[in-house]
Amino acid sequence: MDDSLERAVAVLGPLEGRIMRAIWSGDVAQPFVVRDVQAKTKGLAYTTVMTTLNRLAEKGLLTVRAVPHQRAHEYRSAGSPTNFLTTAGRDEAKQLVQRYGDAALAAFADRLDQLTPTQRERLQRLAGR
Amino acid sequence: MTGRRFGLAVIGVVGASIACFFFVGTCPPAVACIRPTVELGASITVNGWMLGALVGIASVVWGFRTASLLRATEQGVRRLATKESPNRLRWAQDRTGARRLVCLEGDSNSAFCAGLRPSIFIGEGVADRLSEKELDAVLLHEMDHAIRGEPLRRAGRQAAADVFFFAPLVGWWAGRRMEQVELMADRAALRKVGSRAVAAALWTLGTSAPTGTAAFSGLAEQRVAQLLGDPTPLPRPPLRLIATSAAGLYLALQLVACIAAPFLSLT
Repeated sequence: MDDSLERAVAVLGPLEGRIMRAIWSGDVAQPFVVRDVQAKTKGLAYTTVMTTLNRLAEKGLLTVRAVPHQRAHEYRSAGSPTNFLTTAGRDEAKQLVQRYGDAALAAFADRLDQLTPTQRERLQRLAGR
Repeated sequence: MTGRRFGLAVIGVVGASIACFFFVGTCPPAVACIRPTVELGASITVNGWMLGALVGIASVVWGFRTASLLRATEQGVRRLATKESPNRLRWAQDRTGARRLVCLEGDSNSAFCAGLRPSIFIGEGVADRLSEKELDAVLLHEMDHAIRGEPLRRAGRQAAADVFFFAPLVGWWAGRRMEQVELMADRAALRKVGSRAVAAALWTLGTSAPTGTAAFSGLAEQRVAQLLGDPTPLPRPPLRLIATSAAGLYLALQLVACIAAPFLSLT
């Protein structure tokens, strides 16, 4: 857990990493509101914490829901550091290959949807699948 | 270069040419003396200088573009989360003799070679999904790229295609060259592990989503044709592309000549 927590925090930006460390390590009990996180991250303004939490929710690291009859929103962690590393690693690598695959790196995988049905069938047979 | 950027660049060159020809043609006072001063006898030398200037400028821009592509890729690679290679990957490394191997965190299907000093990047998911022989096939394919310094060469070719955007034949050549290099890398793997393992690796990584694949199209057909033992003929450039490139080159030379005209006339 500790190892994956450190690696996950390193992938995030400094501010996001600091907040997610507090959440993932259990320093902030779940569910939580902006004030709970602010209390555990000294020196950060309320608006800074709120903006960062919303950004983390947009990225899918947190889930957010409006609490009836309350102004503050309630947040929860959407997954563990390991879950985050799995998704982030896959997406980053995918984007990198899509962006520079023709320009400055050589990738192995290819889009097989370009094949004719006959070619696809023959490849499948050769592959033993 | 994307289609939109290419369109803007073409409009830019044509616009600059028209503006320059109009400027010189209307002969404002500052450049009024330009036409009579370049004598016919000296025109060959002048044309040589023009061509030299064009090649010189293009070379500098090409160098910068290549470096910028490599730098952007290096930065992208540095952002990727890595982890210690699992045993299966380490064993495959021992079997194939692959060096500078990096395991990517997460269930990524990506396997690629990148960097000025090429490293092979393999997603954890690749090691999980493939059998021993299939994993060897992927490593051997990427090793071939690393040995040839393909990331640098590819950046150079892409930069040339970007710099000589007015001659689309360069972009076509870059694409075909990439195709040939991929086929060579597949052959390197084929020699060691056979067509079945390469086909199975290509099938597994090409059909299991999500995966990162380059935007270039038409490559899969050639690779599969080679695996199946079908002919992979060398394509010829379309006539339209040759004509467009000739026209683009002529326009670029004219533009350089037009821009240089006032300077030549004043010396």
